[in-house]
Amino acid sequence: MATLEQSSEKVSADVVDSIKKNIERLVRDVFLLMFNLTLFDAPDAVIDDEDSVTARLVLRHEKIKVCISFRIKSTTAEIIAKRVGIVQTDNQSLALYQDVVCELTNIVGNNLRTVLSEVPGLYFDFDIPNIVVGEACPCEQPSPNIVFKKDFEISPEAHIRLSLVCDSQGASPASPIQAH
Amino acid sequence: MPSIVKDSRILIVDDSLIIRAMMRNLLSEMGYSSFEEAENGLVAWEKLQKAKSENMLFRIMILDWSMPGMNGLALLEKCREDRGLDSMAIVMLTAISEISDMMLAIKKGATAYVTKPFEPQKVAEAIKQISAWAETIGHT
Repeated sequence: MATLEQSSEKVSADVVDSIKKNIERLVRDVFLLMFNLTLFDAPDAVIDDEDSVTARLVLRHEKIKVCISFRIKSTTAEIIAKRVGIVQTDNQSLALYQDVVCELTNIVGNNLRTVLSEVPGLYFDFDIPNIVVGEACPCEQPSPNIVFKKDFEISPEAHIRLSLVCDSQGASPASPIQAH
Repeated sequence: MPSIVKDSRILIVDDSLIIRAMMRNLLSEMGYSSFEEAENGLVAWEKLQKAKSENMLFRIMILDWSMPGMNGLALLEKCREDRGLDSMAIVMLTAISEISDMMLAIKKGATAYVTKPFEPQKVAEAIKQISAWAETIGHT
């Protein structure tokens, strides 16, 4: 009979497997279906802190915490805005970038939660994304808990970075910086 | 002759600028010209009440579920309890895609449910179906 500790490890392994299997597809689907934009791999992407907006979202379960960090360059947000017909002014640029990254993170996070709910017995609490302007998310830093990290581009210089950290030790939410 | 249904007023309720812009474009491409926007449930409720008092009811509301303040589900419930708004078609547009949530929205009175990420074409199809239904039963 499995011990409680073994069961917990099994749940965490199932969650991580499910995330690895689905996250890239989810992100590509969002861009393709909603904006008709194809994501290309961008292994050499440079995403400067001062020219990017990051949203991070935490899915929490009693046994595991999943932190999703979605970072986009301003050029990426501009392309998406143009694609949906927004003619932006300088005054609204930052609000627009925040809106784009927040909406994308929400969609990916909610869809990921649905995928994870297919793992028996799991239900994740879902926080509102926190927005970080001009600053990398701690979960982008090298760590053995990073289960997925990939840079994409929709055109040269229009990059997106997705990072996911699963941490079975901490289930407390990230400290909010700015709520959307 | 202009379509009666395409002259119908539509309210877009979503806290995201991007989603509202997508919906505006989509409705324009479909030939709708009369639509308004609200960034949350409270603003939407005020617009709905004002429209009702002026006898200028919205025929369709495209409604996001997750919003700050009054969320989409709460607004849906209020509308279904309000004489005058109870027959308005409501399309729930949401990233919450679990079956139990869809069932809840339909039970509370949503006319259609579209999940994000959505193809704009899917939303257009839902609106077309609702418009056809409204035409059949003679709503203006």
